[in-house]
Amino acid sequence: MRRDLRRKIWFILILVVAVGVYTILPIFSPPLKQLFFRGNDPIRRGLDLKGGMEVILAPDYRVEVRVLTEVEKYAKKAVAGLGIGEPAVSLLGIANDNNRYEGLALKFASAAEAQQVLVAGVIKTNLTWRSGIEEKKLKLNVGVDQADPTVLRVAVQEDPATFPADALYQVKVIIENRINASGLAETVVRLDQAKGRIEVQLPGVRSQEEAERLIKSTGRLNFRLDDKIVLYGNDLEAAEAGFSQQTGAPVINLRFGKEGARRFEQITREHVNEILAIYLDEELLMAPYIAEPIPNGEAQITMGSGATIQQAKDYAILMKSGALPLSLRSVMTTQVAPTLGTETVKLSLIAGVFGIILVFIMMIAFYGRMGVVADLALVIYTILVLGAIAIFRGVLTLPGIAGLILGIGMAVDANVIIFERIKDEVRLGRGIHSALEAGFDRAYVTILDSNITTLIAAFVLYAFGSGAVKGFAVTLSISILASMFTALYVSKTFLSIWVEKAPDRFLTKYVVRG
Amino acid sequence: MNLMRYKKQFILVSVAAMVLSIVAWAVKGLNFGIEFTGGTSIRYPLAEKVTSAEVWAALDTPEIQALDLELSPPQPYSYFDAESGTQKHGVLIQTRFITQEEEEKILSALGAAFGQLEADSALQINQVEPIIGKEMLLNAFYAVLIAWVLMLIYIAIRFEFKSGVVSLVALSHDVLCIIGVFALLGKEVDLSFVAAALTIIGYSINNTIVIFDCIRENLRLKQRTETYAEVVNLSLLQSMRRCLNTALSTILAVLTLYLFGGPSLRDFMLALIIGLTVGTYSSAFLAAPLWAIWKTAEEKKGPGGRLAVAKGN
Repeated sequence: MRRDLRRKIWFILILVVAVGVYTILPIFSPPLKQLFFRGNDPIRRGLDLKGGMEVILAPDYRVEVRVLTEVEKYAKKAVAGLGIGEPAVSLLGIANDNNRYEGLALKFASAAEAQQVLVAGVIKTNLTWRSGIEEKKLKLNVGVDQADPTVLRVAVQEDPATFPADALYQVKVIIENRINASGLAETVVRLDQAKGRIEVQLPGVRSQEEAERLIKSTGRLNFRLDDKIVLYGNDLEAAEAGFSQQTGAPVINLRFGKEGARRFEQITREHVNEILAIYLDEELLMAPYIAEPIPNGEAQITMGSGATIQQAKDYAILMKSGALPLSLRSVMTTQVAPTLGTETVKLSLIAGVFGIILVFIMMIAFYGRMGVVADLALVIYTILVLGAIAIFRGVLTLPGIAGLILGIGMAVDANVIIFERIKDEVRLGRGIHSALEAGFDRAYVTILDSNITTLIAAFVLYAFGSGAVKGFAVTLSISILASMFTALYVSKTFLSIWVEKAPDRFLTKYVVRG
Repeated sequence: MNLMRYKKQFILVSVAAMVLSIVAWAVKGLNFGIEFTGGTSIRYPLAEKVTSAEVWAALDTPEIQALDLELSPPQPYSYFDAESGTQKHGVLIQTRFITQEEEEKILSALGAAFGQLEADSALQINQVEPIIGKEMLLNAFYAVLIAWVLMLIYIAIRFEFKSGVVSLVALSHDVLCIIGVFALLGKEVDLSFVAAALTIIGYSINNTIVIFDCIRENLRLKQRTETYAEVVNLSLLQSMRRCLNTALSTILAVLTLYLFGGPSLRDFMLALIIGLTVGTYSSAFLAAPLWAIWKTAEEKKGPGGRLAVAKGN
């Protein structure tokens, strides 16, 4: 055998064995799985195949009813100044879990009145709302309702500029910590800074409550006296569950930073025996009463009777990690039942294998011995693609499987193009050696051009797609590259060896079959 | 064999398919999934097969009517669960974007009518806010647009601008045909439909390029007496085997997944099958003839003029 061919065949062999050991053996051998993938599956399955939840979160700039009532008073006063009858006011939008609304709808007696208010511009675009230590800079946007011209829609939002620029990043880190503390495997928390979204994937989470406990309680921790916020949780340094030294009951130990400790001391000194309610956004967590002034920022909440240490721990996690710099709402939740996922995988896998076998048979039927070479190349292609997905820690989704199948089509295509080219060359009367070389040379350009255009589509998909579509783009790109490699390198090597060993037989087999 | 003799018929078939698709699209409209419209979809597992009317009746309580949920007709579905080896049933209910409380009300109404759910059931609830839906649709649209522009540039560089334009015409034809079939069948257009459409774009352009590559090569050997139609005809005949073999094997693989794969794969695979078939056709019988017609027209118009022997005066 020629020296370069021998080198090539060794390269292919080593590559296939290495990739095979890395990706396929761990499926059967737990110790290897532990070694290579820390016990995870070599090829991670997407949520659609595994079951679980995906939640996309966005900052919630909408405001609470208690803020909107103030805005309502302001608007009514502004309108009264124009000498127009008082409008009927209702809330805009539907309450979500944060109990916030989009704004107010003001219904006037006539369209002319609504128009008059709009033109007069008495409702300003910027407002500041204060209550206790709370201060919110509001942005108002007034417009006529498209369906009903007698209604003015006043959209009310907190001014995004009042939040720190890296607030979303902080939120991401906090959610990540919270999820990691839960011990779930293979979770994903991704921040899309451009769109201002956080994508959370929780494989294996079966119920909405479970997911909610982890991410939906995303509000800001706040302490309230008499329903007025007096302190935010930003300065809370630690919240840990433990047992009371005296009674042995479960307790939560809180520690504040310098600023918070000073404020906390002031509050507790002035309000002994009052209730200091602890809220996450608008949701009441606990309502302990202040037993004594607390000087150094180290407080202890004794849980009510019957409480377990687990509850204390849950509350502690919520308090500590609940200190988000801004509130979030979930704009998209996708839930896949695990049974539906596994059922699909099994069926698709069986169907996929069946399909591949059919393709194998077809290739042999069309191209005889050369079909066998193509099939061998396809097997290597499959191993390489799976290996690449495992190495890049890609995720296999349902559309991803389709991408793989399409890749098989492309791999077949590349081989078909090459074989047809070689046949052309043989027909033109070339010797088998030069026909092989010329066939590959000519096929090279075709395969490159056709695959690069497909790659362009895949890259755009990756850049613009979300979740499952991104996964699809990755598998499609990987399979296109792998199919080019197997056709132009692996198939060529195999065919060259064959031609090298028995040029005459190759030619006769070929001419007879073709 | 002279395929190009039928070039008008070939193009006519494509035009007819496009017109039909547009009509179907305009008349029946597209059944957008909640990913694009926003809303809530609930897949509620059931012990037995039910009819849409039975589910309607179960949800027709004053309490739920008061919520004004914008319910669309419930769609019962069945599938074979390979794990337990039994036939499973369920019903798909779609509403506007709802709150937690509203969701609980629906679930308890269904529970009262059809029995409570077991803990580890196949209940599936998806929610998309309307704003996000719009954004996703726009994103998908931009993705297609950008992919096309980039591909046009690549083809213009590697081949010529005309090839790029007719390739895009063929692609629009493919995408229109899938949209038409989905509109006709009332199938749901969701994110995986977009993935399928983009796959088809990738596959079809691949196909078209292979044919144009063949044309490019034959063009180099072109005699002056040969017409563009003859070159295209020769190229089509040469690449016919390859096109058919590849299309057959890919469609075969997709077809097995369509027939035997899970229920959630069905629509996705259907879009692929239609797209692969249409894409193979449009590459050979739409893009190539169009190119030949355009080139011939240009040649006639070109800086030709009449050159004759100068006659003495």
